[in-house]
Amino acid sequence: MNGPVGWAGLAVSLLLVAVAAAISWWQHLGLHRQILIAAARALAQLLLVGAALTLVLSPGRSIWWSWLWVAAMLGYASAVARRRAPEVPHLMPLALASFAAAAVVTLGVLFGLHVFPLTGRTLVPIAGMMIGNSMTATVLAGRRLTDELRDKRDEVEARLALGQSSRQAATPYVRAALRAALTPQIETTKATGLVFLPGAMTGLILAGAAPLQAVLVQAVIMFLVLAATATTTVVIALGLIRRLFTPDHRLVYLPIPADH
Amino acid sequence: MNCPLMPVRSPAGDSAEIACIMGAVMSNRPTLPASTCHLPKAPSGSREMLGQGMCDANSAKRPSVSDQRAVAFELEQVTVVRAGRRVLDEVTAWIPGAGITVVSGPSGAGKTTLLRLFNRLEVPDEGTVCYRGQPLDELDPLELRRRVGMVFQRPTPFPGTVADNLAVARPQAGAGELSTALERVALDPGLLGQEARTLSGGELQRMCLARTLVTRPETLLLDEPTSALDARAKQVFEATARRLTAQGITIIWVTHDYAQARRVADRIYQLRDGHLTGIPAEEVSP
Repeated sequence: MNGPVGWAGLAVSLLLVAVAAAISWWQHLGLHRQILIAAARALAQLLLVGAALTLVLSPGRSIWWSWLWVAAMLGYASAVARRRAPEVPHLMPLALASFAAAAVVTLGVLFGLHVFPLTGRTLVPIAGMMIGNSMTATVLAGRRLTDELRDKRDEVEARLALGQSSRQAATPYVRAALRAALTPQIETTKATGLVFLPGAMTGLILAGAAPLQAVLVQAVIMFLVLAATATTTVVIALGLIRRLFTPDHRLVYLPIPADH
Repeated sequence: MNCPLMPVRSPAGDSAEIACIMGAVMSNRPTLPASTCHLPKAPSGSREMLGQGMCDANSAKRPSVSDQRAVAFELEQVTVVRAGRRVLDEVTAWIPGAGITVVSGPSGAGKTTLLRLFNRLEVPDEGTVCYRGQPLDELDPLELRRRVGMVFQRPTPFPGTVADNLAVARPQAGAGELSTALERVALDPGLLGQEARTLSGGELQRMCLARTLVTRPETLLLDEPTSALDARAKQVFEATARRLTAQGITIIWVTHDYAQARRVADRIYQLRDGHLTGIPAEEVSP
């Protein structure tokens, strides 16, 4: 195998998993089995994805295979978002729409304005980072907005009773949800380079790229993630408003989730 | 379109007829005899007590279409089912378009649901609700809610000052209009700049009433507005409500406080087991 890590290196790194499992065993956390399963599962998934990517990104392969890969990621991420926040009604189609909107905006800028050349080798990882990072923000925004409207139902209905439209009545809660969802990403962006070295940059440096080149790529990726999270959360919030209010401006019944 | 409950043929009611109508309450399963309604022959401006006086139900027809002031709301076979329970069960009734109508009844009887139907925060599963002769589903809900204001059981201040709260109801309202709204509910206009959440319970509830008045409603729905207030604050709120009716605002007041119902009501309806009935005020019991 080419590159800095070979199969032997990978096998040696399993020692680190053993360290984590040993700590769990020593402290009676009861997590060592889960740690081993998680590590094995992650390795198997990565190997499968690696094999699939080798096929998709092999020289001469049509870029449509890469687009198909991106579409599959969108669908899978939407299903994961729904699983993580089952209390948010209609989250799957909304998440799908929001990821698609973010893809149009971010990939449109990066490839349409030739920041990166449009090839399978650039499209798949960039779309992957965009979707992966947006997913957390999407779940956060959806959850927060649903919680706000359910917990502050009295306040929302007082606004509706004053003749405000559902859009107007929901505005303060949409803002709160968007702030809550975007703030972690903004904080991460601020701390980049000072507190931690992000993954893409680390990967490039480990793969032998010049540090400055790695930094430039990383900066573009950070901006991509920032735009993607903003786009997905706003689409989720506005879409949810349409689902949580009836056309005649009534707030639908929002049940309290079992783990609340 | 006129409400199907409004008779087309009806002549303009004379005062005696209107007096009957204003107290008339009907249900598909009436507790009152079908042939009579126990209504007052109240002189104009007096407070009615259902059950005083008699008039023939057949002659106590609903008011004419042209006299839309006489009837505020009409319900025809209205049923609301929540979690498998019939909260309102085929209620047919009308609510007069003047004075204070109290809807009384035990907790869980469906009083709040009834009130929420009137400004369309809820819709019935079956039946029709009309306001001033028009089915609610034919009216723009935003316009309806400005004509029919609602004050909730728990005061719901929004973030910001009292002025910020009032401005939610009408962003274009000037300082003069906001001050007038506070004066109408016996609050000092000097409170406009004060943080709303620092007001006392009684002041807060009256601020909510003032906020509703900023939309210039013709009818007010009050959902147990004084249930969390002390005796003095309750008294001030009741006096404020009476002043508002004198200014021409129709009030429909839900309460389970029977003493209060007797103090403020021009007429009392009782909601029990999903049915709305008119009963003599003096016979209203917990």
